[in-house]
Amino acid sequence: MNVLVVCLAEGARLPLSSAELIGGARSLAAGQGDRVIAAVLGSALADACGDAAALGADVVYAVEDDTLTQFQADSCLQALEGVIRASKPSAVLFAADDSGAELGPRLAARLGTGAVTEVVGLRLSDKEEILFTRPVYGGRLMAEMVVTRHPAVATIMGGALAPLPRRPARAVEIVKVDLPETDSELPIRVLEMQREEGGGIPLDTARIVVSGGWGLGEATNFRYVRDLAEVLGAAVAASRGAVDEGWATPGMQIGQTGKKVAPELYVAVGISGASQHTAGMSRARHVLVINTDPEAPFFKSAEVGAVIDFKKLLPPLTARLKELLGTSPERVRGEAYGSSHS
Amino acid sequence: MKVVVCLNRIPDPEAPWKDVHLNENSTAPRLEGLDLVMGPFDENALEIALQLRDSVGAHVTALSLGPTTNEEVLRRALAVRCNAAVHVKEDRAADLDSAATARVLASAIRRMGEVKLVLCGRQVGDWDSGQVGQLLAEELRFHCVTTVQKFERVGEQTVRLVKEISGGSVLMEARLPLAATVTNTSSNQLRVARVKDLLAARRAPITTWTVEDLGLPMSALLEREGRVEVRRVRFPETRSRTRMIKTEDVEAAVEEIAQYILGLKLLGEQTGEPGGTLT
Repeated sequence: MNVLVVCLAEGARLPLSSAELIGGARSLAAGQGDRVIAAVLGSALADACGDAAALGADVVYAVEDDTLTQFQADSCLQALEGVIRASKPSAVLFAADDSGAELGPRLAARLGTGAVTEVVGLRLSDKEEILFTRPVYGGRLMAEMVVTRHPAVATIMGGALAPLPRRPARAVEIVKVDLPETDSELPIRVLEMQREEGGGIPLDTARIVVSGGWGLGEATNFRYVRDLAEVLGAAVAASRGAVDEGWATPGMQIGQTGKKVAPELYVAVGISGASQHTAGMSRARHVLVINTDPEAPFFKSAEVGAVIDFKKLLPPLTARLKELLGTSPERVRGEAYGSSHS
Repeated sequence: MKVVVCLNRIPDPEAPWKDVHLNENSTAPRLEGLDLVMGPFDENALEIALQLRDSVGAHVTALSLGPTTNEEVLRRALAVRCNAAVHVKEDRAADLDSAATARVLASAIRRMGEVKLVLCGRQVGDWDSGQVGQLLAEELRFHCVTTVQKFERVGEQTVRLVKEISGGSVLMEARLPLAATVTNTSSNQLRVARVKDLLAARRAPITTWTVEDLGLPMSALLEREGRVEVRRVRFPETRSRTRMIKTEDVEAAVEEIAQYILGLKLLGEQTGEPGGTLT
């Protein structure tokens, strides 16, 4: 089958999510003559199209327009409808990020088909249907779903699919697509962008996340979490309890009502592990839980659990890791793909 | 200005699950005995609608598609002084996919006439598909903004709003009519109803329609018109064993944890390989 992946360029390059989508699309488009088609959207796309080719796309449709990066979903949808008419894919894959979450379902509606969102795994059935796996009920259950119309549309969580090795010299067909001219006023006008202060390492792509909860007791104790995160080159996160207390910003919240992350290592400090929280980190590969309450439910899903007061444990642990590691370069997933997280 | 806020009733996402079993075909959990509540993001959408009623005199209608028991969320909406409530009563509503759900809700909204703004929670908190708001925009041919935190100014033709994005927010102006999905933030936590209003809400009228009343045959929505199918659900694999460190000797614990972290080999080398694997 032919599979279309939607790649929104970040600045001049493609983000890691595009590499993962192309890699996953290749696993579906594995038959002879099957093609992985990349729709690359953004402004100034020469390098991004090269990225798509190097990452394994067979055909690249480049839609270059300044409005595409300004939350103009309607422009993106028009462009994608054009690409789909031309390329007739069996499946369309988006990243399950801010724009994918909006565009996936809307595109499906326009094509008269259905979408499966926040997918964490996919495979082909014997009948060549794509079976999409996604968590439901806050991760208490996993569901396997199919789209019964064509093309199947899905949004895919970060880390669910593996990129292919980069092959820089690969030459592929690049098709330029123009947006249709329109006199109608744009439905959305961006007035101001506000970045959350703190910056640091972005949660979405961090390989290690250190997270603090209500058990920290007070705002100033968050520094223990930050110090450990710094030594590990990790992103700092929080449970809803800590956010409700005002110790952390809403953008740092992990859980069903916050961000969903899939790091290699998740360190939870003073978090009980209610399903509301674990829904946001259940795909972490390794989990270290630090809590004074031996009955905390989080220990059940931990690889390593320490029943020790964080105030006693974290300062010497941070110091010991610093000693063992020497200097600590930034270790962020996705750097290799030139994604620009500002 | 007429505003519609869509509300759903789901198993309490905060409550632990005990003895939950799957249905016969393993396509959904059996929810008997679980506490049902208004979707958490629906509460935020409702609060935003109420704020528009307070600030610009918007007429707010709460709309819910679901079984008889969904009346409870509409009573709750009336108790915080929504102007009207519409219940599209359907016992099998939970079996509809997102596209069919949006078609039913859109038909109900069209029947209300002259609606300028439709609000939904960002996702409903059970199946968490996060699609209905966007699909309503497509069905109604409204403009669409997702993950709205608040409205700052509401005019005749446009609204000024704050949209949450990864790592921050965007202040934007969007044209009406608009379908917006709402995310949680400090300014949109649902207010508490006054006792007087709670009592009045018990007797307040609720308009009741069926899916058929709206000109949509339920059987077709469930079968021929279906677009997404659940093949099966299962409980996720749980970690088999946790290595517990319970010791008075902090130094020993520090060493064990430090060696555990270093043993994962996440530090020091650059791989660029993605993190998560499939479970």
